[in-house]
Amino acid sequence: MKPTPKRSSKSNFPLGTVRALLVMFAAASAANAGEFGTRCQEAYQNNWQTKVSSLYEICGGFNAELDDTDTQDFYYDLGGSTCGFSTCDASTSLAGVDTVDLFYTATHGGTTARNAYLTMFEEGSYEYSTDWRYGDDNDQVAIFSQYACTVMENHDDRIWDRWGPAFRGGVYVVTGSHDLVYSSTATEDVGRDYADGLQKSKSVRDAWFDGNADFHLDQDLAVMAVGSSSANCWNRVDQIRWQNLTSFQRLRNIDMTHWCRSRITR
Amino acid sequence: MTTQTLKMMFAAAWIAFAAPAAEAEHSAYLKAQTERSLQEALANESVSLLEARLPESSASEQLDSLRERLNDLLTAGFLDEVGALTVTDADSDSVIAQSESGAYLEVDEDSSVFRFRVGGQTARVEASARRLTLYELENLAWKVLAGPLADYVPLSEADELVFLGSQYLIEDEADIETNQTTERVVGHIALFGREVEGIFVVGAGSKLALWFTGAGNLMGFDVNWPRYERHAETQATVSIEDVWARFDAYAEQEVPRPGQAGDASVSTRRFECGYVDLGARKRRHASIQAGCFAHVDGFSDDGAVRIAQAEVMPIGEPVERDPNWPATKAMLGEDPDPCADDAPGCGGPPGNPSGPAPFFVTTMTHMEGGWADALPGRASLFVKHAAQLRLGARLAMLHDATLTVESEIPFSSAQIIYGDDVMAELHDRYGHGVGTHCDIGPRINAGTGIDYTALMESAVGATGGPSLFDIGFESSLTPTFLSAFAGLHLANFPDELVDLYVEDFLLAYGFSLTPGAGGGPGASLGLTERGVLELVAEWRVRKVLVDELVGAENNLGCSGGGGLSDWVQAAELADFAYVDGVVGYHFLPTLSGARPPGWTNPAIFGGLYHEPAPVLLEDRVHPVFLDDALDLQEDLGGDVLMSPGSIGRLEAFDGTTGDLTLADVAGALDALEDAVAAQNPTKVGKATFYLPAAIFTEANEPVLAEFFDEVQSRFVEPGRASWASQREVYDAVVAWEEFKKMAVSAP
Repeated sequence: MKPTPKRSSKSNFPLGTVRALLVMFAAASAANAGEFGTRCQEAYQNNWQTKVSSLYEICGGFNAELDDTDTQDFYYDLGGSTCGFSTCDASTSLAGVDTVDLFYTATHGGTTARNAYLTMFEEGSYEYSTDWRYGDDNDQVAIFSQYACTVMENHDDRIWDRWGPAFRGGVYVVTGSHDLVYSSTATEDVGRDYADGLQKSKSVRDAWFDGNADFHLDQDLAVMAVGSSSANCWNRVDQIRWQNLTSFQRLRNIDMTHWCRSRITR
Repeated sequence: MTTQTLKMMFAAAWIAFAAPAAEAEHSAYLKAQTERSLQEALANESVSLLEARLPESSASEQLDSLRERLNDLLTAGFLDEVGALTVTDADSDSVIAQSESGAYLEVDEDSSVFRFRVGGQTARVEASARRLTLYELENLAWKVLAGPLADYVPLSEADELVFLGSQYLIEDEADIETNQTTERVVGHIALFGREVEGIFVVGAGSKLALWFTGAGNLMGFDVNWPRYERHAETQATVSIEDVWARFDAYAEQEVPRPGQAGDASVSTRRFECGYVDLGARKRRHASIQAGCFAHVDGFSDDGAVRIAQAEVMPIGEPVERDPNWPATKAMLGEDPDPCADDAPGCGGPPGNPSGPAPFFVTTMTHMEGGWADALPGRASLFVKHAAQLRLGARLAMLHDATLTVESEIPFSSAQIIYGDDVMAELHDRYGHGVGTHCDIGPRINAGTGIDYTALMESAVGATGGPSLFDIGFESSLTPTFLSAFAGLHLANFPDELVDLYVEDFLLAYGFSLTPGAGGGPGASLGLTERGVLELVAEWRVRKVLVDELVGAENNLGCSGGGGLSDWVQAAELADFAYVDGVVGYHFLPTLSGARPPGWTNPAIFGGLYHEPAPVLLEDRVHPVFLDDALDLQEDLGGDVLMSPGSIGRLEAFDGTTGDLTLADVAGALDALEDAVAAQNPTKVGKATFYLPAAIFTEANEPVLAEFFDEVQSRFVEPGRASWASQREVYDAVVAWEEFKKMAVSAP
């Protein structure tokens, strides 16, 4: 007999409202901590995409760990379609990417020649990277992390077409996968471990790699940044930490001359 | 000398003389695990249950010990200097020491789990162009394992260290202008696992990764190597047939049999049976027991996303309950979900976004239908317009604003004729919005003296096919539309576009493509002169051109286009998702009872035709979906978004349409205040400033910058509004409508 499904595909609105109130209370009492927001989606409207088991454990672990030291502004699903990504991205109540210092998301990902995209809850709905521009204000998002397959691939040498628009706003670091990342009972701790690495002042790259690596599963991990030169780009990859974001200049538009990407691959 | 050391020495010696293996991601050993497991799982053998013992040394003690060992590795030439490692963080979970060069050494609370890395730059200087082969990598790794790290990877007599394959740390980069990508291999990672009494340990536990630079120096290690204690108790294992039955019954996702594609075009890439150690956090609470680990990947049914799922299934009989392994609980009849009751630490499922609807600040810049950009000898006009847009786009971007540029046939055509993709550049490089300008107006031919017949013959005849007039065409088109063809030589267009352009035009008008089969515009469909399909034809021609320039997925809107026909239905048929630039003309097909007082047709034609509509600001700032143009009131489930919001021309807020001044900016900001105040917080709100292309001049830059900055500081930064393109407003309204449905249907 099959077990009871782990999650209803229907979101729990009252719980979300209560959590939002709690988050608002916590935010008011921890003004100096870094702010982060999380949006994850395990199941999709009318099962239009394959359910991703264990994602809520991954996201829950990330929240629980980082919440120990920092302020969680929201934990929402990926309903509401594009709200929060390409539009409403400056709205906290709509879980906007640009309302937090670190945005963490987990869902199915993919790419086209022009876009990386994240799968939303609503049937047929994706969020496309060329519609994103993150970090325009210095108080907006600095780290954009995605536990999602393929969003950072570059087999066609078009990664900049896909990610240039988002970086031009000034976001420091984008993390994700250049091919596959697994969801499983075996990967339930990857969110918690990533948050732990951030708390320990590892570089964002090292925190992402260490937190998500498994060495039994083939996890294809990637971290990308931009710089005003090649050396500047790698220096940012090596040095940018959750704790030292403000010591780095936001690079916007023509400030950046290079992109650089570090990845673990088979 | 221990047995383990002897094993390693023999292995290293054997490897040194063996033929190099072909480069591959997984070792022969790991591949054999899948082959064997698929055939027989664990061959019905009984296995001893294991227990992972916490090490006697604390995390801090282990850290101190490892720091000394790193010195040994340095002395032995395995490692470059990394600098002093100073403890920077120690809590109940773990301890970490870091150096100024970026190196770090980290030990978990369970001190059998630890990790070391040199800094990124230290590793980068020893990068190589190629990947070390499995053979080279394994050989390097055994030397380290047989030497300074041997004590930290303890093996009992029953244990065997096994090579699993390789991973690589790759860095690539590019100059953004040239997009010339260069790549280097910074880390070569050798992976090892463990056998216990000949049984492979699957999962994150009992894994070891040694990282090497391209020069062969050690750049890091990840060790997850517990001591196992065998229980006297044994556990039988089930047959491979029963293993599959368990996957069928208890796996969260389908695990296809070998050679079979699953429901979502996935397949089982790896399948390994053995002891299951799910890592330090999970193994603390239960015995290590037998199980099979299936690595499933592929594509979703629609091919849009990759699927990567791992399923772990206990195969012992009886199954041992493990609180952190849901399948064991499910098989024992319990709720498998560790977070089913929203237990502490589980986090539970996320909630939904909620709050007031957003308000957007938008612009419109129309590249007009009456312009001569595509006429012979008027290239300088096109160059001027393109330069204006580029200046505006860059300035807006630098001040965090978003523009929307909507183009009619002349400017669209000129981009194709002159090979200058300025609209695509605005969208792709600067992030601004793009769309189609439907500058056709109502059908009242005032007579312009233009010889339309000659123009159409010139345009369509250039394809070498029949003239429209040969197939029964009689011009009743608007002057604006036809004037757009002036000088438009289709021979200059790519063949593909010519096909689309002409075919769309003809089909939309109800013409047969067979010469001589026509009967006048729309006659075959019984349409009136001002029929919807005529509007569709005119809009489609404009849309096809902009689609070609920026991609159909980015060109969802028609700006303007109001007339006597039902423009809502026309928009839907022409594949437009929204109509912006709503003015008096858009009320022409609206029933008299649904119009503002005094908005008769004569009044509209007589002067109200270009007035922003709807009239009331509290109506105008809210985009609504419509089914038709009969009343311009929201139709739930409507197909086309009427996206008004016009609050004025930027250079006219001081009461004149002359120079752009700070008085205009002050007036514009006041108007924006009024618009924001008029928003119903349950509906997406929007205000649109009209910025003509001619406003983007160097002389106007300071005032434009002031305008953008003031909007930013007074509206955007306080969270009262966001900049958006017309397209983004459409996306937001769709999202908001979906969100409201979800909120209503949620329990």
